Amino acid sequence: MRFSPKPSRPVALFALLLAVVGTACALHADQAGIFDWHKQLIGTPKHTYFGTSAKGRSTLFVATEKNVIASLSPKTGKAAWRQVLEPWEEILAFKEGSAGPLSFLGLFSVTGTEGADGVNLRLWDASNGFVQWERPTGLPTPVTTTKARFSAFFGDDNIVAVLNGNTFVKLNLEDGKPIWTKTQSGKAIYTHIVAVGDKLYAVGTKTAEEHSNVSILSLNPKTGEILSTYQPKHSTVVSANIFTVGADHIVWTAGSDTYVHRLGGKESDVHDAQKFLRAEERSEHGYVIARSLAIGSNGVNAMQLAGLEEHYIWDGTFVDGKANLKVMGARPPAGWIIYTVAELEGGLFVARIMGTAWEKDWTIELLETKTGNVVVKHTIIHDFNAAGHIVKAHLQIARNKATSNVNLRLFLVTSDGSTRMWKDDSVLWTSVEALAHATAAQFVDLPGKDLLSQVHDELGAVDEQPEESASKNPIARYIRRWKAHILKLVTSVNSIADLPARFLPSNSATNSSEIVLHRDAHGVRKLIVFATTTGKVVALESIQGRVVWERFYPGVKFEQIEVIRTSVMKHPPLVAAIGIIESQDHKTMVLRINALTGADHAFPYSPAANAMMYVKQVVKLPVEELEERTFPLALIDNDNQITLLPNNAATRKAFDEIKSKFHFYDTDGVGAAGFDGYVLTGEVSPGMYGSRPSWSLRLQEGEKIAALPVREFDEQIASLGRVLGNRSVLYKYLNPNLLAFATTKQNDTAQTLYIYLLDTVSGVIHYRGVHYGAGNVSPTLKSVYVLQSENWVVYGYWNEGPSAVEEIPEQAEEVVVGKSGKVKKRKRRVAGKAQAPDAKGWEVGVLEVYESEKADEKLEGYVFAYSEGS
Amino acid sequence: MKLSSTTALLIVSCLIHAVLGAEQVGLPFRRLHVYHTINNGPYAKRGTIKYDHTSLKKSANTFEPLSEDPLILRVEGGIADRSSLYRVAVRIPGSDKELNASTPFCFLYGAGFKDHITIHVDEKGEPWHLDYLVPSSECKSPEQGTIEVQFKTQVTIMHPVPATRPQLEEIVQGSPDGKPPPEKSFLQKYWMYIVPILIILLLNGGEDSQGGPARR
Repeated sequence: MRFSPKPSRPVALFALLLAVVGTACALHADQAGIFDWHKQLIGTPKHTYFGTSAKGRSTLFVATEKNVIASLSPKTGKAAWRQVLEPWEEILAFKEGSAGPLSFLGLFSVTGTEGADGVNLRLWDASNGFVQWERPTGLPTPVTTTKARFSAFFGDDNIVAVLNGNTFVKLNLEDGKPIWTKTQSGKAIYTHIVAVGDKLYAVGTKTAEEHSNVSILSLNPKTGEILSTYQPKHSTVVSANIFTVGADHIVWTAGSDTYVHRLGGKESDVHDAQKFLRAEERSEHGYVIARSLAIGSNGVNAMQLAGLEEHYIWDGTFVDGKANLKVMGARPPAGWIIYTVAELEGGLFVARIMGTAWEKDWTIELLETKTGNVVVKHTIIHDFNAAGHIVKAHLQIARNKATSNVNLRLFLVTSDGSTRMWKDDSVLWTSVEALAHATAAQFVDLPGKDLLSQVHDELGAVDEQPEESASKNPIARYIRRWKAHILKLVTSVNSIADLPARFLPSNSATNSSEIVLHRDAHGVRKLIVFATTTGKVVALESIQGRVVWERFYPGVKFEQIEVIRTSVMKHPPLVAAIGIIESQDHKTMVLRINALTGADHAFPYSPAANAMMYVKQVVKLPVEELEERTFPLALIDNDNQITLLPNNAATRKAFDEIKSKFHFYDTDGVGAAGFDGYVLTGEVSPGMYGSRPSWSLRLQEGEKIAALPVREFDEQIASLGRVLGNRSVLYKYLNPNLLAFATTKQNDTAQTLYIYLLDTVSGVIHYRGVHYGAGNVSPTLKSVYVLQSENWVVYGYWNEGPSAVEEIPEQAEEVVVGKSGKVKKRKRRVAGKAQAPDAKGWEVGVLEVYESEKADEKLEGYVFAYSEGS
Repeated sequence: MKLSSTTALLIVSCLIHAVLGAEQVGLPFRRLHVYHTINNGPYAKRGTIKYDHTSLKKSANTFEPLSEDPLILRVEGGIADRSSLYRVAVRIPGSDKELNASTPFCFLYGAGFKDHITIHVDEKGEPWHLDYLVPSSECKSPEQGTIEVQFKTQVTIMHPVPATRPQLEEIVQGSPDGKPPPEKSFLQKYWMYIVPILIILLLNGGEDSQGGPARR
């Protein structure tokens, strides 16, 4: 018998194929710029409306704080279309319907550049997001604070809107032509407009010296003629919160009182909402919590009233002169309650969602207002520590034809700014919209597979201490080692089997426990930790963008995130999330978080969360303390004193090594007009140091910082130089204190962009390049970006073209650079306009900084200078 | 041809007049006054910077000291450490603007009083920022007493550098010479797929030829 070599060939080919897989996974030049993953965020919804698409499918329309309008699929959360509006635009109303031959799903918006373009009205086709028509009104756009002066509702074939608080307009829905326009002079500002019977009613407030009065104005809907204005009884309020209930009632709250008035009724026909409740349900102080539960701009509104023991719903109707209240349920002792309403089969249904911060089980109850019966009750899982409490809910209900049961969909907005969709008692999808408010992000290198257990890694992945191992007999240890090696083999095979999954589209609903949290062969897999202004810290894995963990810290507006411990030792990597708490006198909060799990990480005598007053800047120190192997933080206060965090013997000892060379700079960032540099003076108390100014840079008049990159002192450097064709080397200028930033100078006709290279130790400007006719697209649209790493700077800006180029007043020489990059000659420039490409568009510039323009030459020594501003 | 002494004198006189008068007839030479002090003492005039902001030549900018004689500086206690600062102020004639810079005195002493003044000017040639450099990173301090100081000053005028802008080119149809690129043959396009298949076929082909006689 002999062994044939033939059966081994397929195996060899398979092995060859496996070997090639690794090569094929590498990045090729033509793959650069291709997205690995893309999160299509829209921001936190302000207005939400469940509608129906042109194909009859259920659709979710949202208008968000980021001024995005989008049509989302309720099943998947994916956007059918989305439009990003200008920051000054405002969505007024949603409505679906038809007008003549035009079948539309309308979103009505008002827009205008503040004080310039004026108010424009637009109707959007909700089936595809296209603008149906646009109509300029000629009205000036008010300042941002008065945007609440807009309101609109859809009629059968028209839209009636109140603009700027005092102008009423009725437009033809089909083409946007105005039917009539009316302006009411006086001090009244109208914020709501509704149709009751054969009249239009505008409701707002009229401001007197120290208070306001609720003011009502009625109009003829056909002609726009103003029929009457009046102020109902109890109309005096300090700041009014007005809403509508039912078809014809308005409600306003004035301090602890809530009043109800029927539009079209007598001026004296005003009810105290407290008296809607039974006597035993009324509060001693007459305080009744009343809030609007609206279904969209034209839907039936309801009001929720909170008695002492129970919660009630009022649909705006009266029976035998008494408010038709329905009991919603007992008033829970603590936690949050959110109400939302929807219509089904002509009836009004109210959903009540209840929960607390300390329990993950939240309850949903659906009540039918006609009978007062709870028709559906579910328990859902909601983690307050991950997303905060539920702030808004939008309900959609349908009756299951087979079972006659009522099914519900709930679109929830949480206090971290994110959204999720529930169907009955399970999550359909979640969207971490908090990322639309991200202010800082850091890549975190994952630890090697055995790194976190390096003390006993010889025994494999089994978590056991060395002393424990020593107490076991040799045979048991031998078997354990075999088990560990078999486990490793199985893991390796599994990792090959998981390879295809890496190329599949990401699924946000994937269980985070399934995500591999150790580095891959080339260190491509990392975590990206984001911090947002909504109090959210969230970690995504870099391969597919899946959420690994999320945390919510109520009230903290995060501004900065730092990696304070890397993964190169047995300890887990740590990040510090830094933010301010506006509600507590802008206290600075520093949170230490385990980057792998999202758990708070305390040190002995140093809690995970630290809140301090008067901190203006937090700097990661370029030295590692030896106890916990972290980079300490320096907190710089308003007096430019420095305090170490954590302030213990280990950090003080580490800081002692660098304090003679320690320096820092201060700037107010984008929009500021300068920098100030500081050096240490001496130790004020243990861990606290004084400083004095060392240099100052005040920019030219009218020049402001437009972009300021974040630079890491511990960034990874690929190589120290660039090898040239003749094997000589151009050494990179890798000074971590070199800061690149961009500034813009703008006047009525011209704008100019400057790019700087500044030494932040000495305050010396090494380079100042100028781009004429360049800058931001508009004052409100940031368009200048600077990225700095190693020895290179990449910056982008908007080129407005020759029309925005500034006049050069006098003759000056300019350098003509040859193709080789060397100075060819100097020529005297003709006075007049500088040059800019005659094409509006985005431009990108790149700077590379080397130690010398000559190869194989390095800088020696240092120069010192402290430049003070004039 | 020989020039008479009167003619030569006239020519030299004209040349001198031309050079000296250049400044008066509008050539863009400007002057800045430089003052200095140690720590918070009163400022004393050190010299004048003369520069032509329209020129990129280094020689167009000069520092003219107040006196060619060395300065006599009195060194007192406490000047040795880095907190003792040598301060420079540049005052612009006809303006109340003053540009300031400072460096630890010990670095200036360590550099042998060699220094470098950089005046940053805007597009109009107006100074707006001052950098003061000394080529030393060693903090050396003189002994107490008086020392003779001879500054070796270099002046640079720094203009904003016109940064590189994109070169706009028209879209070229086809290849640069206007001709469409020749179409590749079938083999040129798909050889990378054909070759592995051929290799696999060749390897499996061997199996069949050896398997034949074995059935016998």
